[in-house]
Order: sequence, then structure tokens, then C-alpha cells
Amino acid sequence: MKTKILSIVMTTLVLGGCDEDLILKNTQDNTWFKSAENKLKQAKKYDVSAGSAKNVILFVGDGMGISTVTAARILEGQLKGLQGEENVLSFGEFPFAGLAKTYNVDAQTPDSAGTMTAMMSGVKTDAGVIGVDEDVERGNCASAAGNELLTALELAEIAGKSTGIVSTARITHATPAATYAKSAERNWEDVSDMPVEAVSDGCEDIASQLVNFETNLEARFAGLDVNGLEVVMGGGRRHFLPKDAAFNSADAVSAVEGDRTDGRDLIAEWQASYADGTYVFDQSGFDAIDAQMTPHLFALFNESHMHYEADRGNDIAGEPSLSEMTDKAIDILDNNNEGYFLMVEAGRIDHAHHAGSAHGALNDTIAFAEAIKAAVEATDSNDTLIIVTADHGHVFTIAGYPKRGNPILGKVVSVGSDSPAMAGDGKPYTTLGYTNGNGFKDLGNETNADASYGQPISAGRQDLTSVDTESSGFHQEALVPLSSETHSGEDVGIYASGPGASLVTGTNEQQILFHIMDYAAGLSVKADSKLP
Amino acid sequence: MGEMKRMKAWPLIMVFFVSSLANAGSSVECDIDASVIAGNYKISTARDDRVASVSSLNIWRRNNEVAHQHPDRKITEIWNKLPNDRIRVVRYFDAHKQGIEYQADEIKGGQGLNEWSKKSQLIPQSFKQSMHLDKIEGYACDRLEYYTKNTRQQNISMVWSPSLSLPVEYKEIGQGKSVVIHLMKRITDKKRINNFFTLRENYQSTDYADIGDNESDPFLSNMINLGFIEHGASGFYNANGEVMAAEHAH
Repeated sequence: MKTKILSIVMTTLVLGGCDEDLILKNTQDNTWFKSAENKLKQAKKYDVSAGSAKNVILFVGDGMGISTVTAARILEGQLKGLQGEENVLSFGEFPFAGLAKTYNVDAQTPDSAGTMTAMMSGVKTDAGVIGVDEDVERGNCASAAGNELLTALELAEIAGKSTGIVSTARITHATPAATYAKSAERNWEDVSDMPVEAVSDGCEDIASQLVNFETNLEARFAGLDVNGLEVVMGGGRRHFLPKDAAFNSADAVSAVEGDRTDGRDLIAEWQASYADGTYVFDQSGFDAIDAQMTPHLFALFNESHMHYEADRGNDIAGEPSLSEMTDKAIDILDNNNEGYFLMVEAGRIDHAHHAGSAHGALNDTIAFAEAIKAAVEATDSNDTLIIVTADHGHVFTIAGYPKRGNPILGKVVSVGSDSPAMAGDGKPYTTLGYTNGNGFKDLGNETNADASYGQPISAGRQDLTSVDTESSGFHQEALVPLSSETHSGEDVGIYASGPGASLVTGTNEQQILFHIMDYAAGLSVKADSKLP
Repeated sequence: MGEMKRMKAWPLIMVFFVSSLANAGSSVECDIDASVIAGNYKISTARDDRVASVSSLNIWRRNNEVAHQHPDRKITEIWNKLPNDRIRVVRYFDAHKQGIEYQADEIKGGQGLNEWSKKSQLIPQSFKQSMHLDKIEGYACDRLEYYTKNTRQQNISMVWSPSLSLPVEYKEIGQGKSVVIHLMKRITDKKRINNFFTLRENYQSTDYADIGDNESDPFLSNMINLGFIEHGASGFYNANGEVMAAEHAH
């Protein structure tokens, strides 16, 4: 007879030993998994008992490094009319915080695929791969077989909880994908992105894995019966539709919206699988959703990524904010008495930084903080663990010696002065800047951070004397010229509230997040009990 | 004299002219579908009577899509007019069979570029309307409109084909510089035009926002050096309506 799950994590302390683990058998002997597990065991005091969190919400600010959090905090404060530095972002109020080391197994500076896999599966892995361990060879379909990991979301699903994913990026993008998919290549978002060999070897594209989440999970465990993801909201319609203009949505921006070359309409397939579900693609459809009467929601608001918060008004058919999506997701998920697991990603903080736009990154971070505030207000801190973190940082700096209350997007004005300080080259300089990237752009009131990609690199110092550096179209100077600004290898913050939050402390390997969520919500223990 | 010069320099105009004489008095209407059409242009610039640059631009139009193909640079930009009257561009690097997709108004000066006429007919409608219509010749498909606009700095002349909704000749001369643009060939074969668009739609494409996550991709990391149309060859426009010269193409 099968011995039931977990044990791993803190249950080993409680139960006095680690039973043979079935559901996590692929990972429990993994070095990365065990090291984080041991770290957790070493904690002296726990204010929480295993499984005390009914609900878990993981918020991921993609690319939201420490300097981004600090600058966004100041900007939000200044937008409120404060000096700024004293302001506190919503998750800054959380009682517990720690740090996560973000490197991938094969990369000093990580990418989202490897980091999110670590957070969701408890196993650090290579850059560029989704839901598989380091034994995989990136881009090699066959190498993924047998190296698939189980995620916290999947455990929650098996445990009978409701599950949801929300992102402002394409829902097939690396971070959300790492909650539900297994792929040797993060870019295999639909079948047209895959080499012929990968398709013939039987690998399934990420969009297809999302729609087939329920059947794929059931196929992994004999006799398992789950009811699928209750909430999916984000962008990325292109990966779900055939490459045929006849399938275009009302707010398509391409002549042919879909990318799929296999003729499959995954939205129709999802609707066939969930006859009681609701599919929406715009603001009005979103507004019409009755959360109490919607057992399954599938929402794809954009052909590709959703808009930056500052640019959201320019969407053709309208897009909800991250706060609105978070609120709606919780309203639907909390219909289940067994609780829920929700992952919410602010995917475009990362994109704005890549484009060298602090304005874009900070405004999306503020929107992210508002979504977290919405979640706090919609939940009970006695039964809901909320963790806020980032997958990695960016080469984004807060520099110089600006005086207190100096506009964070402005030029450095020194203490006791009213005019910009001059650098050694006799030119003013901004507080915020990037170590590398596309560099300076002065695009006026342009609200789309990616406008910079239409122009050549202009790295290095510029004369900013007559430039409004606080405008939405200003892109900060960069030192090293690159097509796109890069991630950084520094630690990121972890902020937590609710049952299990006290486990967040110190400097940790990033995969500890899985173990904390697993322990606090008893995910694998409950999942194991559901196996026939 | 000036008219004769124009005819010598530009064979297509002569074809139009001769054809228009043949059709004089005819009431036949033009059956050219200007919404699906293509044209090949030669763009010559001179400085102090010396040739500064010669380049080419092909425009391909298919309903709400317009392609500006820069054969010299092996780059094609396809502009798509959206229901909300914004325009969106995909930049195709033909030599690499790769494309970069932008969202609407994500190119420099997004608001300024949001004039579909600049892309679809190469000359802003407001600019055309500011010119003086000197005469009209020909009938039906061969009808040509002759415009001029003279300022202290420049003498501008344009021959316009209403049936194509495109200029067939454009000259801008003044202050020691000149720009001369000739329509060398027009294409009305819809199958060929569709194939042009379909070929590029089948290129591997990357969303602009994903470039940062794919720095290890050799094409994407080098793309920044492959060319920037807005700072290079002309896709026309003007006067004072922006991009025109091709002299500083990189």
C-alpha cells in the first residue's frame, strides 16, 4: 500500500520522520530541494503549525528588485503629496520579510523561467526551462522526460483547493507558465514556436498545456480526479488561436491574431471542456462576470502582453487593472471551502526595466502594490498566507545625494540646494539610472515604455539640462550599450503575512518559497491524502 | 519645357500621358483597386548638383495594412491600422527572416505617426491639401494631378495619381539640395501582393517586450545594429511633416 505524501518540509519535524514520498518522489532527493528543506527545519521557532493556512496567494513582481521597491515606494508617496521616503507600499506593512538568492543552477544572473520554477517547485534549475529540473537540456524535448517537477499550484489542485493564475504578461510567459507547465524551452509558447523535432518527440506547447492542465495532471497520477484551474487571466491570445484571420478577436491588433500552425482553437477547446465556464477578452466582459456564479474563468485580454498600467487606457477593447483581476480572482476562488492557491504576477515591471523606463517600471510596481492591498482587504489574515516577492532584480540604481523629497524621477538636487547638482562633466544627472541597456530617450508624454525599441542605442552621458526627466517618455541613461537592459544577480525581497509568514526570514535559496507554502498550507500532505 | 523634361526623366509618366490621350473623351471608369496595390519607387537626393544618394522603396498596400519595403536594407515595416485609429508596426528583417512586433504607437513620436495617410500614401494628406493643384490630365486610371508648393526655401512639385492614391513623381528642390522620387513600377496583381504579406507573416517573430529575456539569441542581440528606418532611408512624408531624406542611411 502506498504511503502518503509529504513529510518533506516541516511535517517531518511534526511527524518525527520522513515517510516515503510518492507525490514528490521526483524531487525529494534533489540536492536543491533538500537544502531548502533543511534550512526550514533549522528554524528555531515557528508561530504556525503545518497546514494552518487555508489559502495561499503568491505575488510575483517580475524584475522587482530591492531598488525598484524603494523607488516605487518614494514615487507612490510623492504622488500622494508626501516627501516620499516615509511612504510604505502595501506589502511594506507585512510583518515578516527575508531575502532570496536568485541565481539559476547554470546562471549567476537568472531568468524568470528558472527562478519561478524554483519558487513553485522547490527545486532550483537552469535558466530558460519551465517546471523541469537541471538534468534537462534546454531546447531538447526528449531530455525533459522524467525530469518534470510538481508545483505548489498542482499540489493545491490535487488537494482539492481552487487554483488560479493572473498575470499582466502573456499567460504562457515564463513566470505564469512555471505554475502549470513542463517545458525544456520557455519560448515554446505555442506549437509554431517549436522545432519540428520537439513536436514529433511528443512535447506539448505551453498554451496547450494550460488548456489541458486538468487532463495532464490526472494522467500523472492514476485515478486522480481534479477539476482544473478555476481562474486564468492575462494576455497572450495569439498562442491559443489558429493562424487564421477568421479567428481574430474583436480587439486584434495584427492582421492575423493567432500564431498556431496546427489549426487548433484552444479557446474553443477550453470552452468545450468547461461548459459552465466563462471566457472573456475585454473590460466589459470582465465587468459582467458574476463571481458567485462562475466556476471557471478564462480571460485573455490581449493578443500579447497586457498594457503597461500607464498605457492601459490605450487598449482597444479595454483591460482591467491588476487590482481588479486580483479582486475578481479571489471572489471566484473563495467559493471553495477547501481554500485556494492563487499566483498573481505583475509581469511588466520587468519589461519596462528592459526598455530602460523607470517611469513604466515604478508605475507598474505601484499598481502591483495596489493589487496586494486589494488581496489583503479581500482575505482574512488568520487563514490566508500572502507572500510577495520577485523572481530577480534589474541593473537599476538610486544614486547621487538628492535631498529629502527630491522627485525620485527627477535630477539630483543636493541638500540645501534648489538647482540640479552638476556631475564632473558639468551636466546634471538623474537619481535613477541603469548600468546597461538602450540608454537615454526623451519621448515626451509617451506612456508606452517600449517606444525606445524603435531607436538606436544612445548609451552614456547626455545633456539633460532642458529635458523633463519626470515625463513618462523619459528613459534613463545607461552606461553599457545593449539592445535591452538586463536582469541583475542581486537578492530580492520576500514579504509575508498570514499563517506561515514567520517562516520568511534571513537569506534563503529561492526555492524555499515552495517549502514555506507547502508547509503552511499542508499542500502535499493534503494532496497525498487525495490520491486513491 | 519643364513638362518635357519630366517626361524624359520619368518613363512611367509618359505611359500615363500617352495612355490618357488614347482614352481622351472616354467615360470608362478606373477599375484599379487602390486598396490592394504596390509600387516601386526610386529616391534620389543631390547636394550641390552632385548625387548624394540613390535608394529604393517599395510600398505594398492591402486594405488596412501597408508595407514599406526597403530593399537596400533588407528591412520591411508592415503597418496595421487598428479599429481605434492607432497604428501598429511589425519590423521584418528580411535577410534573417525574423520580425519584431510592436504594439500601437510604440515607435518614436507615436502620436505624430498616427496619421495613416503618411504610411498608406507616403505623403500626408494635410501636406497634399496644402499644395496648389495646377492642372489635371488624363482620364480614368490615367488621370494625373499636378501640384506645386513654393516657399522661400524650396520649390516642391508633385504628380499625383488618384487611382493609385500614390504620388508618381515628387520633387523638392532648394538651398543646394534636392530630393526626387519616381514611381518606377506599379503592381496590381493581388495574388502577388498577398504573397508578399503572407511570406512575412510566416517569419519567426518576437514581441518587442521579450527581447530582454532573449539576449542570448544572436539575432536579437545584434538586431539593434541591423538598422533603424526612422533615422535612415525615406519612407517619404513632409513637408515639415518629418522623415524624408535618405542621405544618412546606415
